[in-house]
Amino acid sequence: MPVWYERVRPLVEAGALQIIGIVQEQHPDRAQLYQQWKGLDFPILWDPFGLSGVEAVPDLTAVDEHGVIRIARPAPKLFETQFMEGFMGRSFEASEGEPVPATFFQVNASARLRGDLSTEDRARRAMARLMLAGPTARTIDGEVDALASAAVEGQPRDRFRAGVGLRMRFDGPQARAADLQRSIDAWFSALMASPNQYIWRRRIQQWGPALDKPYAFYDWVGVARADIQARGERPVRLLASLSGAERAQSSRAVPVLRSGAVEPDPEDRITLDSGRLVRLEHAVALNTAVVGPRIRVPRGSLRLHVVLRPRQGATWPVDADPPVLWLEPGEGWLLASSLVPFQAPGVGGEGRPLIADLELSTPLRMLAPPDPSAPPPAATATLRGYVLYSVCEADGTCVFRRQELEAVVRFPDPRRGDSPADEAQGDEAHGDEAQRGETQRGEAQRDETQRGETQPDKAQADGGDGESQKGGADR
Amino acid sequence: MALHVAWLLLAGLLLPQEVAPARPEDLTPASWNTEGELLPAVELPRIDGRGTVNLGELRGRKLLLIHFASW
Repeated sequence: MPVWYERVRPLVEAGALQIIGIVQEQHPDRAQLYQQWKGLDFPILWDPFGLSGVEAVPDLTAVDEHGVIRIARPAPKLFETQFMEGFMGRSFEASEGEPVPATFFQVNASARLRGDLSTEDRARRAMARLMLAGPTARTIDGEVDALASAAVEGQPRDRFRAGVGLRMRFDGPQARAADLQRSIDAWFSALMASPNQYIWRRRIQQWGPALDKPYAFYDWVGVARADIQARGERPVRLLASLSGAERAQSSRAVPVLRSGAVEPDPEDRITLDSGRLVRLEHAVALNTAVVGPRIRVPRGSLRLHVVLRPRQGATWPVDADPPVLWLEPGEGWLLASSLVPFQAPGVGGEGRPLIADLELSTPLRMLAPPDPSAPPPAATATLRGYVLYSVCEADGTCVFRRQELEAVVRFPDPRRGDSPADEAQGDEAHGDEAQRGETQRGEAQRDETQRGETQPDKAQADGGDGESQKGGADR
Repeated sequence: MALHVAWLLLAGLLLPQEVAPARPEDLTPASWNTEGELLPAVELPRIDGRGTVNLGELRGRKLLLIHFASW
């Protein structure tokens, strides 16, 4: 339990103080797991769209018994004198005239807005409905459209909010192929305009490369689950599995290629699945060092996310090895291994999307405005590879299949200050349309029992190796 | 007069019951962090799904508001 909480808890139990937490994280269940782990028994509110306007955390505000803000951002070193004595140790007089606080975002009222609404009010309603219903919201397509419309002519924060909505849909049953990439692009576009907005930067880094991380984001999850289970409790279930990016340790080192990976299908013998059974999606998160004036790494890096989403009726066989990704990035790229296992579906996860992600260092390129007379660096690069997986059809027939991967990486032009979002592609660039036109190649079909080329280690769905470094201001 | 009042009541029933709250654009950091100002009435959902909390209704006890992240 945090030290500060231990210190003020007697005041809470005595009825002299109430505590309210606010988190801006994309996934509230992660904060809920943290709350359960640490035994934080005060209410924690969810502000995924950044309505509070707070740009960095932690941030504390002390409010008196009449609703007046008395200390904004109390200094940690002055906690005893400033907060315990100067704030808790005295009574404040009520202002004359019963002042009424300004009314801002009201989630329930906003969710019920009706009629011919402006673009802003449609976005406000969308945020409210998504906060109340989450990724399973029945109307999520309309809500995402409303947020996207507001982002077209809106402020950078509207683009950030559109990204939050897209990411929510990616986590739910109505996910579209490009949702993850579009969310990252929207966040990049917002950050390009407001490079000092650290909450937005963190949101990209969460799914970005370890070279870009100030610390591991959710490495505490595994420890928390074990501790909670040791107490005889059931840990809060997480909606979205942690990806490697979220639990990776921060690093200043570029990936080092490990030898030993054997290409699983070098002769293209595995039958192609043209997307009938499984939808292949991908997304690229660039290092946020491309945003803003500072250059923090000598070379670029990115994280590639690859998602396999079973079509209606298709399922993963529980007794087969998880799918694998083989990537051939080309000259100048660095990665730890060309062979990457996907997460295992696990019991009960036969119909869920599986994710593999990996970090790559890009070929050397300009990260700062170059000599105006110099030619601009290449704006795009293409990563090629394929995925192999066992999948079962609705009638129980299980087959082994291959799909080709072609991921286009779009680098911002450092001289223009644009962002990948400015050239954001629709769904067709990250899923369905890319799979059209591919033909079955006629090679003999193999079922999963005919494999044997690869025995990838099972990927951990979640978890980490230790307690996170906490306590520092995230600014 | 009675008819006039009846019309007013009827109009009240027919008009939309929801009053659009202030726009999110009004939510600037200053609204939350300016000493001497009233904490705005903002209603947000709880992360555990157990309803919502309106910060403007938290009167009578001192309040410590903490923005944080579990990462």
